[in-house]
Amino acid sequence: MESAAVMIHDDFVRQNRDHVIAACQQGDREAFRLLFEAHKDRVYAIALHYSGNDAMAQDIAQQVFLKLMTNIKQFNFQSEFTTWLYRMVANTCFDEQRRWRKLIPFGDVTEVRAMRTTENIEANYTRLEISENVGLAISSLKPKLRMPILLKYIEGMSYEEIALVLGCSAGTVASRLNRGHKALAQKLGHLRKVL
Amino acid sequence: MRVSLFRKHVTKYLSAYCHGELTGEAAQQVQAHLAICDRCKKEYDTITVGIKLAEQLHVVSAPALLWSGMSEKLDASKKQNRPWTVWKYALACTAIVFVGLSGWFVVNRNQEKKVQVVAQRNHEPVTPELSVTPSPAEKNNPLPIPTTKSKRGRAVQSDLTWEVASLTGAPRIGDAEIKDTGKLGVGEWLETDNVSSAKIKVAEIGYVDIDPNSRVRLVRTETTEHRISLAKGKLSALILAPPRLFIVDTPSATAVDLGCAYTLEVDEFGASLLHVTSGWVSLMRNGRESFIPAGAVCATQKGSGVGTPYFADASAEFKAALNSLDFEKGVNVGKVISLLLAIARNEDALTLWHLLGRRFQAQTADIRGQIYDRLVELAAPPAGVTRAGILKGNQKMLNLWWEDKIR
Repeated sequence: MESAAVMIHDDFVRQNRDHVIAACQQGDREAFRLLFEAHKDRVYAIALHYSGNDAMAQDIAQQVFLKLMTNIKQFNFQSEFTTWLYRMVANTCFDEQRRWRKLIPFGDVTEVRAMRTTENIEANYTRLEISENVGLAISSLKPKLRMPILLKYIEGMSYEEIALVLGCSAGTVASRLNRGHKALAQKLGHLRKVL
Repeated sequence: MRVSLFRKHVTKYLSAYCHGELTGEAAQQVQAHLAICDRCKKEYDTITVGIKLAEQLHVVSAPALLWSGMSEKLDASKKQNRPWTVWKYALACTAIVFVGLSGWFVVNRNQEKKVQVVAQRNHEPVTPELSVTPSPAEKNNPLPIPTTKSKRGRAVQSDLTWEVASLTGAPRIGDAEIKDTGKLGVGEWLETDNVSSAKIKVAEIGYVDIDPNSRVRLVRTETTEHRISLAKGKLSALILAPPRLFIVDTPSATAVDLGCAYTLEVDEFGASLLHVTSGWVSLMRNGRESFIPAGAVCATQKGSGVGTPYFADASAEFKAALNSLDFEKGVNVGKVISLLLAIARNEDALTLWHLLGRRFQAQTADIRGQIYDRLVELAAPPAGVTRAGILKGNQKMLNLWWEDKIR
């Protein structure tokens, strides 16, 4: 019964979303606001954890939604909207990383913060601090390991969906997630006891 | 996901196994292998820790400012798009006029050539006609016509206001309180009290967070320079732009962004403290310039100007000695320098290089010699840099050393 209820709910959400997308395709600003409100937090969270930097994350999120608005007419309802959207998010993150690599390396600021906060970590085992440290550690992972982790844990995507977004095989996703998990465990092994 | 070769280790399938991404049969095979293989079991434990850590990630709320920024950009793109239909006709008309003018020019030129040929045939001198009458545009517009130039060209006034969002409390722009968002115009002051703080969007190049008890004025915003003045309080800047576009004036120095993130604090006496967290910042006053990289700090004081930069993790003794050298009067320079040189670490080459360029009231050459000798130990100079040259204050050699070894 529960799964049927979830399916009905999902159908309802999908149908509503299709209406909203169709309205966006007609240039309806209010519909776009709805789409923006529905996805802004996840898009921003991925951008934030990817770049490790609030200003960059805002810039990336804005670029994503501008691209979304500009290209929404190209969405043909054949594929999942979220796959389409997060492909845009991933590509924008990669582009921005390439763009700013020379000036401010991604992960640079966060590493400094990580070093400072680890000193106090034993004194403050709050969930928020663990989460913050995880975020910082993820920002310092290699980009190709970072994005699958964010899509998995922020958006809750399956391996197949992540593969579609990143344009690779599910096996590659599995391998990158494996390496990402190992790197996280090595970086934050000292938090093992408080998890 | 299908898995084969389960006689071998299963480490690369462990995340997929934990996430339930393997088929039932494959999952059973992994489970069976883990029961007998210590190596894979150990790896499994590591992966599960990694997964538990990753599960702590949470969705953060996007800032309220995000939509307003979006909305403005959408309006701008709409404005850019809308006139296209009008522009199509305008372009067509321009093309027609251009073709007409080109035709006229060709005909005219041919006539001129004919005249020239005839004149040459008749051995008459041909002189160009000097135009002294103003063009129609000049006639109708006595004021200079504003032109838009490239980023590298002359300054063009961009949008003369910056967006400001209240982070806490109610910051003020002039007499008006900002409840949510507001606009900071050129010449206007943004002020925060002890409970309010604000975020400023610096044109399209970055953000500045203003802490409580601060006072900031927007001095200028142009495509070639964005300048604010921090009278008191603290700001945190993140600028993503070519160097020297974003400038902050304080009562005791000017901070010039070289592509960076930093905090800048000004106290009630006008003294400031700059802490760079990423990239580089330059501090200038009265011909003295200090370059401060990520992880370094530099103090300035009214009257004394810019101090010598040092890394934040330098010892308290090193910092105290440097502070007395930079800002205390009547200090025994030789003694303080000796102390600094004795306790300097490799990282402190940054500080020593800056000291090399300083002029001390007495015994400059002796002191410079001591600094040179110590700096050689910490960061050997490149070819072309000599002791004699440095003692004479040769700036080219100092720059060479900086570029090659210190930076």
